[in-house]
Amino acid sequence: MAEAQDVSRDRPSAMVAGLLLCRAADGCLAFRARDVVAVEAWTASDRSPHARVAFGYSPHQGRALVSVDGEVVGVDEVSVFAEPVSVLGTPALLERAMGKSIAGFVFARDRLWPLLRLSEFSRFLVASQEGARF
Amino acid sequence: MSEQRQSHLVFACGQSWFAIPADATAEVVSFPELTRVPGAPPHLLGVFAHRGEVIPVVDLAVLVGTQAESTQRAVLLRLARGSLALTANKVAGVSQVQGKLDPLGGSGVRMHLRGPARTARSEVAVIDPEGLFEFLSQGG
Repeated sequence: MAEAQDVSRDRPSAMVAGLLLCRAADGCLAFRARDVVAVEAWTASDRSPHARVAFGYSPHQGRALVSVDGEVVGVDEVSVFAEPVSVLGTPALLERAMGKSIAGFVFARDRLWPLLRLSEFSRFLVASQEGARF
Repeated sequence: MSEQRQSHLVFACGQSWFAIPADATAEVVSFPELTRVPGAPPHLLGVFAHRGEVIPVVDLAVLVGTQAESTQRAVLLRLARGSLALTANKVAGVSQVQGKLDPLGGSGVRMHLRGPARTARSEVAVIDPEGLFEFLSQGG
């Protein structure tokens, strides 16, 4: 059994309720449900970015999360998590590399998930694939 | 380019020995399964939660291009700009380090590794923790 993570509340943190917990290969991602207007099928012909690429894998048919401004991120699996959870801050080491695409981390279903901003993360994926950097 | 004697925490990552100023080190931790960060470089293995804080874990062996060894121990650094954990497959404890602490390279991560230096038992590369943190935060 994996060692339990220590999430004792030594520091104040924001709360968030209503998440979409997603899998992309061996990576995991969380998005605020309110940022997602639709969950559709993702196929390679869509040419929209897929989160698997950010973990070093090729895109794979799955689900597409659509943001309010039309940005899309493909993932393998999506599930709903309704419980309110605390948002842990983004480490300073990651802030510059991830830019505005990451909003922090949340602890759900016995593991830590990066909490991403859907539109910004879609653009982050596109920029990464084009070789640019935030 | 001065010879210094300071207390350092000495540890091995892969086949190489490193030393880091003792006043930059908080503790040696065992970390659980890491959460991968999307888009992270290979040397950033992931993050874990420790006392309410998310800690990034870096494998120095991967960063300097030597053979890495699997481990779930890391040296936790608390610096002015933030926290960071460096994987360690062996920890030798605190020792005096002697040597001329010049950068071991002119670019990349080796600018933030200094030497040649040694403890009583081994040769070590001395880490400049603030310089390394800045290098990593810029995507290095």
